[in-house]
Amino acid sequence: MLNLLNMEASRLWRQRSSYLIIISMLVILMIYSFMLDYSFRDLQESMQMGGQQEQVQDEEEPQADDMTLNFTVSPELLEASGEEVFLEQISGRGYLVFLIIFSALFFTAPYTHGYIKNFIGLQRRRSHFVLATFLAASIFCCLLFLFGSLIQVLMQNVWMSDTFKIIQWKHLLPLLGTQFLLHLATLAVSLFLATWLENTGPVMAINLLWSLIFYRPILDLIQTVLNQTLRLPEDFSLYSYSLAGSISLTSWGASGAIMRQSLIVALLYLVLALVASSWLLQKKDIR
Amino acid sequence: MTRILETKNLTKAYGSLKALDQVSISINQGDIYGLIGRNGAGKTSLLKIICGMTRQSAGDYFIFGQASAKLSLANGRIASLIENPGIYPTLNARDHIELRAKALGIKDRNIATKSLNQVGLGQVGKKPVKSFSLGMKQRLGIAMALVGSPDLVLLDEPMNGLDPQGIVEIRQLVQELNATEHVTFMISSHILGELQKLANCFGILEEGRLLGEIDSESLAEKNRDRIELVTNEASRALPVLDSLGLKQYKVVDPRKIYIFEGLNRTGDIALALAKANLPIESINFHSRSLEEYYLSLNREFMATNADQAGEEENEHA
Repeated sequence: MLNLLNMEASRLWRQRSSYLIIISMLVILMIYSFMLDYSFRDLQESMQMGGQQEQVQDEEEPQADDMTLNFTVSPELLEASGEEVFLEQISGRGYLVFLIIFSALFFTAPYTHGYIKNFIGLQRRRSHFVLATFLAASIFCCLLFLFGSLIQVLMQNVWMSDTFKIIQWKHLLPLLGTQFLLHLATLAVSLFLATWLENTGPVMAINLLWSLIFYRPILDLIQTVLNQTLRLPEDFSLYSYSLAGSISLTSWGASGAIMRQSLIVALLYLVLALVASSWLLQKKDIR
Repeated sequence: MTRILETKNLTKAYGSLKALDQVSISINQGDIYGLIGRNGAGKTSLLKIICGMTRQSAGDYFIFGQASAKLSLANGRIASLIENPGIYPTLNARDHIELRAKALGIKDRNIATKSLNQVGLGQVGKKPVKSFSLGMKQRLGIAMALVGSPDLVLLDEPMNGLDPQGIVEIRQLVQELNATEHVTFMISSHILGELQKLANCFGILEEGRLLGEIDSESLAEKNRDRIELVTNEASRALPVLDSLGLKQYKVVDPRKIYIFEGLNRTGDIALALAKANLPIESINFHSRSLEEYYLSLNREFMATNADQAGEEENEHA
């Protein structure tokens, strides 16, 4: 397995898309930080000039689970903390988009280009390849979080207004760790889709559409049906047991219970997805 | 002679369609085995099973005496190039070799240079492989298959897309590796003429079934169909042939006679002509080519199938 991990890690560094995706994310983060800080200062000035609040409304009211890259500002921005802004980029699924794009490209490439034929026959246990490719992709996820966080910390603690400085590291880091595990679980689900479908387009489309758009209405619909047929506890929410939902809920201010639940959800999805991928790859014929 | 590969009643079914039907072949170490068959005969299915890409429906195969279920191929003793080479378009040739080397745990830093030079791709530099011609991609596929000095190499239509010079180079490469490093090859190809020059034994597949296996010596002996006699006066040779009791012959031109019987009597023929003071310019055997042999086997198979189908129809009627 170590040889396969070496091969996949080597492929990771040799692919231009790996660098392009990270750089794109960092650039967007920087642009967002500039825009956010500009909006904040503008809002502050407006407040100081007689309490007239300028509101730039987007088409919808911002929801907790919307992507934060929409530059909508509201008076609540004046009370936002640095930690909240920092985590919003992650819980708002900003990082997730780039991770999904990367994973669709990385995991499907051996199938779409046929390179898998060159080494899969050597493996009696094909699960070794599943683990190896997942671990290599996890390295990318680490780098995404590392560089993303560094840029955000740099922007917030050095360049942006003092309001957005990150101070409460002790409370932030566990949430960041949980988010990282949730994103790893999403990576594992993407690997399963890639092993099953072997095609970049459908894998990317399914993952993106589900994680950004369809997960909420579909889960709400299922929840409604379940509420009518089964006696579920009042506080039961299917949404909180989904990966996208858990990512949204693990924001600044999330309780310890939510964090623990998110951790369990992440581990469950991670293990199930990896096991399913291994089983599928072991059984299938390589075309 | 060590048996390197053996299949026993290997079967692969996709639903009701049998891509392979109880195929049993054997290859000895050092052989160059040519696998022949039309499109859809089952050649690629057979190669894919042996190199672990697909699972057989029934039967088994043994490599170095080990059954497939107990086989550990991670030591890289088998390599393959199945259908088109699997390559990442944006990576260069060196990257591909190095990735393959990493998968095998090879740490030789010069592996890429050696492998690419071996197949004539030493000068491609850092060009991404998406700009390679079909022939260059094929060579790269072969180079990747040879990384790690495997003992058994399976090549599926390796000469596809190669120009005549490329075909010659690949043939020479295979022969050299076979002679100097005792690499065993199993090669499927439609180019029977090339395969006949390359392989020393052949297996013929049709509709998933093995029609026969034959080595090149037996092929030549079994397929001798005439003696070709060249003399300065063919007409003077005819009474001599008649005196030997040979009736089935044909005068092709004033100097050449084809004799279709008495294929084991070349000595008698030569002696009789010498006694009649008739100089012989040449006397040798003509054998059917591999292509002709394959086509004849195919015709027999089709005829047998047609008979069987007819019998079944009669039974149902």
